[in-house]
Amino acid sequence: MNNEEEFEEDPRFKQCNREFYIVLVLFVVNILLVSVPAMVLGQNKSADEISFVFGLPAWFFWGGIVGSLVFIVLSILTVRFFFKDMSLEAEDEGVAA
Amino acid sequence: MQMDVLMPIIIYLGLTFIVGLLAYRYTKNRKQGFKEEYFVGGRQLGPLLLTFTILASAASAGTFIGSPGVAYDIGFAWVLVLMSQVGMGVYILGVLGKKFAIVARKIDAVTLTDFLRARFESKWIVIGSAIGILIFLGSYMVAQFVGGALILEATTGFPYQAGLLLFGLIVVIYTTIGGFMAVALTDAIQGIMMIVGGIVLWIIFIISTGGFPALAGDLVSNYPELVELPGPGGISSALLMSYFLLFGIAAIGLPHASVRGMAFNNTKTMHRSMMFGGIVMFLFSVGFATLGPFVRLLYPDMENADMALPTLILNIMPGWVAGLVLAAPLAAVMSTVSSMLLVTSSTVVKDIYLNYIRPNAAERSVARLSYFSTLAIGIVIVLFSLTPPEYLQFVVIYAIGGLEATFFSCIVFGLYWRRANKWGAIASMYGGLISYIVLEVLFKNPFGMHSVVTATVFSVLCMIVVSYLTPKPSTHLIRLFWGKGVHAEPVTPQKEGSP
Repeated sequence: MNNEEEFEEDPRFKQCNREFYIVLVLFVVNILLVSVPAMVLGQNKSADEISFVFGLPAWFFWGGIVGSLVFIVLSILTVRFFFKDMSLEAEDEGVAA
Repeated sequence: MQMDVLMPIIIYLGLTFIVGLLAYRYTKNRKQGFKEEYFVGGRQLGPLLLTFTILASAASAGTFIGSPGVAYDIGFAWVLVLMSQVGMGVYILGVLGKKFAIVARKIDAVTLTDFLRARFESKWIVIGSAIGILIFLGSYMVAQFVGGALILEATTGFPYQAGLLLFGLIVVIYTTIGGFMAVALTDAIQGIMMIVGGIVLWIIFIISTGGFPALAGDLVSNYPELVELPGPGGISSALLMSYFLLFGIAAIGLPHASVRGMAFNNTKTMHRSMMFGGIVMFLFSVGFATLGPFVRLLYPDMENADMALPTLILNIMPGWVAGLVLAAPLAAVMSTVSSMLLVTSSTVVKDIYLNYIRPNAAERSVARLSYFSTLAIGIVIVLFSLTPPEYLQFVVIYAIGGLEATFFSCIVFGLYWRRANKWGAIASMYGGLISYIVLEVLFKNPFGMHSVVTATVFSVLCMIVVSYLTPKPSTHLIRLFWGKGVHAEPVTPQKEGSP
């Protein structure tokens, strides 16, 4: 075989890959934040066992509304602290066309 | 005809039309190449336009009319399902990420198919993409137009077919002449319209009914099943999770959504959009669907659940306010259709004509052809919509699932896995597409999950197994996609293998 593996990887891609994995983690967190409260508080309960918050079923309020809001805050923090600015030009060499 | 409701809608439609025309003049004065300008807005979108154009094109009539209707029937369980789309913008931008934006610039891609063609070097991939886009986006657009015209008829008495033509022509014309920029600008207006509509609706609803707490007691005693989980819709935890795939992360498989991943101007825009995205989609989702179960209490026995929300709007608001709020779902329809129209047109012009029929077509003839094919496809869709299909929401979810099963694994593995090769991609694309259709027909929702989950998993397995069984992609290709400072030659007719 020739030396096909030898080339210099675009240095920006390391950060890109890291961000990709972070987003996958965020996805799992999103599912948990919404489903766990909803399932714990609501699954297979009859209507008279269900409590209400602001007129919404508690399982929906804590899972659907609060869970989603926490997710939104987490995604903002994630972008703020883990995502890095970089050039998007094809050749990352200073002046962009 | 109810003129007081109709007037604000007409004014609003007129306004979108004018914005489309302005975008045309703007595009015309730009110096960039036609293709890049018409199909991805010259890659110059800022945060506001990017956020709204992603989310407004994803949030269709389903979010505003279909979902409140389903919630009317099966209760809060469906509203919970709908919350799975809150992260959609975060996922579309986060998964495709900067890498997609960089690679698109390296290889001069302006469509999703451009990317897949360059990455997998196979005409079968182009054909598969075109099939997926034409079948699923085509039926999706028909469902949207039908939904829009039905709402217009039900709420204002404007005849269905006349409404369809009026509505269809406006969308088709502004998309045709304005291209991507017109679509993005009108998406922003329409997105703002949807948020304002949702907020006005909530305020008036709460004032006129005394708010949710006042209604909750009656809801429990009259329709206890609507506040239960799984509820009458049988929303189990497995089904809920599969919707996170369908409405959440796999949305990158929607070609009209993923093309936006190449349209932003810089990483600051992308970051801001990811931050706004969740909030905007949250408002879209909560704003309308949450009211669905309560509407059941106020207007039981509705024949067509899709009319639940429009009926509520007409009954609790003065005519002209109702018109303004009803403009929101119509806006959702227009923003979705316009972006799909552009993708479908780009498939015909860019992916098929420029690749295989006339690779060296001159700029001017590409422009003429793009205008013409956008117009022609739009007209065909309008004609199809003249006789409406039944079960709109079903058509929409079916189409979303089909697109995702076709594209999801090719995009993700093409971007992040070097070993992914042509054969793996072909197996994965056709495997996903075909298994999805077969599952939907023969064994709908296997393992208690939506069919899209099984089809996507199958498609991913095909990608991995077949790629490992066949030779690695060429060094040249890997260098082009992963190497430092490499820029592809501008559109050369590619040598294709024979698969």
